[in-house]
Amino acid sequence: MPHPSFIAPWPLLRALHAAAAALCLCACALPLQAQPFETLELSVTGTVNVNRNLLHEFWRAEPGGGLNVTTPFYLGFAEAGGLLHRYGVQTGAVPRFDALLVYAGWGLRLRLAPRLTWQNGFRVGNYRMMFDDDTFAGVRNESELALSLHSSLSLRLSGRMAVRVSGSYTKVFTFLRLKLFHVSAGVTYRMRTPEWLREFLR
Amino acid sequence: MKHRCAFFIAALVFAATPARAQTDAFVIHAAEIEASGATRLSDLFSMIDTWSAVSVEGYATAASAFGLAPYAAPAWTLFVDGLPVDLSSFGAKNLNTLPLHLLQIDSVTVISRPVEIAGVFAPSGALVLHTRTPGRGWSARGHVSAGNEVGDPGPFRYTAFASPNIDRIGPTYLAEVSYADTGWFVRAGLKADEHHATDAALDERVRAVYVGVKKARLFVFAPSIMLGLNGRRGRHRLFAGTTRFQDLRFFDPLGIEVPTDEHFRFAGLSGDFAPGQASGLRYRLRFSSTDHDPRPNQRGFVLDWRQDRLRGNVEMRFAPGRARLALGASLDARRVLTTDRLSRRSITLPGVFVRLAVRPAPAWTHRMALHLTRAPRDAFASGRLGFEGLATSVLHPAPAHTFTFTLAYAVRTPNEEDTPWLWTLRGFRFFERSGADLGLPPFLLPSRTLTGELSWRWRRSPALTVDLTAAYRRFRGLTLATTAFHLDPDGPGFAPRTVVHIGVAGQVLGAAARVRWQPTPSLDQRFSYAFLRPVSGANVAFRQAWAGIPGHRASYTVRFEPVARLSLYARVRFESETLWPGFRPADFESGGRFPSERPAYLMIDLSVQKRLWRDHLRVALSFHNLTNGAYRPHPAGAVTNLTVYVHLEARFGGR
Repeated sequence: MPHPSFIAPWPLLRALHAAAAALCLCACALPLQAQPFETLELSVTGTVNVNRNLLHEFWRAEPGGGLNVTTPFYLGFAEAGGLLHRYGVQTGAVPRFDALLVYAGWGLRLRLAPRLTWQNGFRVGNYRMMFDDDTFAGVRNESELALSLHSSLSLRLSGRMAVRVSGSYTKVFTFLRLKLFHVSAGVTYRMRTPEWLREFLR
Repeated sequence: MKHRCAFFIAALVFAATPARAQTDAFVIHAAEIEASGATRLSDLFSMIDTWSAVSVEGYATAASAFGLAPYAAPAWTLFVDGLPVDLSSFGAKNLNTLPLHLLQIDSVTVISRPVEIAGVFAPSGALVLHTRTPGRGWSARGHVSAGNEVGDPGPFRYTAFASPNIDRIGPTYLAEVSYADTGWFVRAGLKADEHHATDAALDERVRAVYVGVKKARLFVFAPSIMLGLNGRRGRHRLFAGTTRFQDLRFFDPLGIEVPTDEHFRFAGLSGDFAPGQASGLRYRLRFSSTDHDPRPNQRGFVLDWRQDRLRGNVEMRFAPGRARLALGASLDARRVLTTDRLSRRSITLPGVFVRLAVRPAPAWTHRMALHLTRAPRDAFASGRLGFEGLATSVLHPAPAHTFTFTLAYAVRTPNEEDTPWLWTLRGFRFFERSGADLGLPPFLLPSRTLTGELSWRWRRSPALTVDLTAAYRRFRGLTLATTAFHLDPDGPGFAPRTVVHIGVAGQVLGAAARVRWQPTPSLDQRFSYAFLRPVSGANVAFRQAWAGIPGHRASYTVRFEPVARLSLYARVRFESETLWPGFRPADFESGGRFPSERPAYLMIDLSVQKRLWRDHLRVALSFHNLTNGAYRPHPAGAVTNLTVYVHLEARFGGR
């Protein structure tokens, strides 16, 4: 490892180097909740879309459901999951459709109290829309990039079980952006990750 | 004795791995390619700051290496494991038609100046691909990636707010299987790729040409095989592959896409009977064929063109005293097959070359190469003798400093440059049959190019490297085409007027800077800047040819691996505005729909990659054009917005 003075001979580079080192120190100072991939948290939630915009002039979002898997990452947590919603027709000129958001995400977790944790993070996913349309599959289905910010509170009921309430803001990058606020509530079951799966994920 | 040993090692490096040994080369490694989320070979161009590239439909790319040639005359040279591959296809060079997948590459050496590699003079820069050598035993790899550009209509397509649909990008597939044992390996690969050009302007033009209701879809299917032998009898490589490329290509003189069914076939054999030794015999032999089958279309375009090319060279190298000398002979034979009546169908270009490396002082290495090519002269191509001379001096005044000075002078005959205009003069009637308004000179002249580069590399520490380069190019006698694009009153394409100019002259100045800073093994950063400008006094055709190349390009690239098997990659790049004078009429007539002035762009690419299952699996998510700016590199071309790619790779075996 070369000495820093060899690495950063100029003030600007030295400052950048110092900033990078400070960032690394901050990252190391964060309390790690667990080893990476040590546990899996499986969540089942019910979800409702609570905002109204141009989309809702044509369609009515019906309550949906979601599945989520969360695991400790090297920093914070990583998650993957899906949310399914059905959109009923508000006016007669458009077809109904199902929307499935499949995502992966990352976030940070803060313990507010011994049994209460607050999670914040972002998700990147694919928003797949399946229309009730009598045409071929390439036209009947459509996919688009979706980005979400989410925040949730988890109250641990026992060593394995918890209840979760969360809110998320999702932006779907269609030509006219779909902007959706969802409120979800559900239960979470925590388990130790099987050794073969930990090996796989590492 | 010490100096003699040092010279011997330097000479071996020069002889054995000439591309990697270029002191001012820029190298992109597989780790960076994978981390960047690059999918196609043409994605490499966006990672090279001294090169610029444009594409009409976003797939077939025209590239220019640091001002050595304009987009319209793609003269850069491609090498695969030291074997030159002639990708030229009737005036275009589409890197994606190479029967190799980007992920089969171990590293890419980019040389942005004239260079001589493997007995081949590359006057306009070189892209040298080094493929991965398979591990011992059986190994297999599979990769798939697909992209989605944002901006689909979504559910609003059923409403009054409907917008055009934007199709996916890809999928791109790679399947590869290999076996390696002591002294030999064999590798077979298959690349398949799709590209949907659903941009509105393109879609309109393509629908006006295609038969039936069909969207613009480009498709590549390319199997390949490589066989390698390393042993007492030398190092030998056989590389063969074929590519089928469908389905369209934009021709400037026609102002519209032409449906094509292109077959590229390549087989090459190269070897060295005494690798790593001062004396020995080296050979390269390659055959390539580019065939354009007709595709039914509304306009009756039939390219009817096939060109076969057989090229080879053999060289003997010696070590007379303290010098290293190589003497060689080359042959370039071409044949054109078309139903048109040509005044000449085949061309044979024999040549000789000599290369000399000397070390006048312990810290000074001097290399020279001279190539002479004899060309047939006829009524349409003057000049009998092609001449290419290259001198490179490498100075190490101190261990951390390396200066490289290169001077090259080339006189290239029209037969060596092999433009479509030469074959049109000889009777190839594609443009005439297609109704192109094309003004040709009565004959073509040889071009004379003088280039000089001075580069300085300062390796402050293993963590910090600085490269500075200044470049000068002087062109005389160039053959360049200018096209004035008007809107076609009878359809969605253009009504162009193309004039081919001979004797075009001009000069280009360039400068480049690159700083690589790796403060920790897990953090790799690179800052780059490149400047390019045709100097005043150049004539109109010359200025037009270079106006589409950005004058300023800058980038910042960072690769961060916080833990093993996880990497984050980001690249921010800036390109200054460019001018496309040929599109001024269409710009005016269309009310700015086809702008002749392209704005400056700031592009951000971001990629996250995770390896799983002890490196057997790799998943990556990458975002291109994160700022979601409407990126349009070519006035007649597609607009690209934020695009997200997903990659999945599996690999097994190989020790």
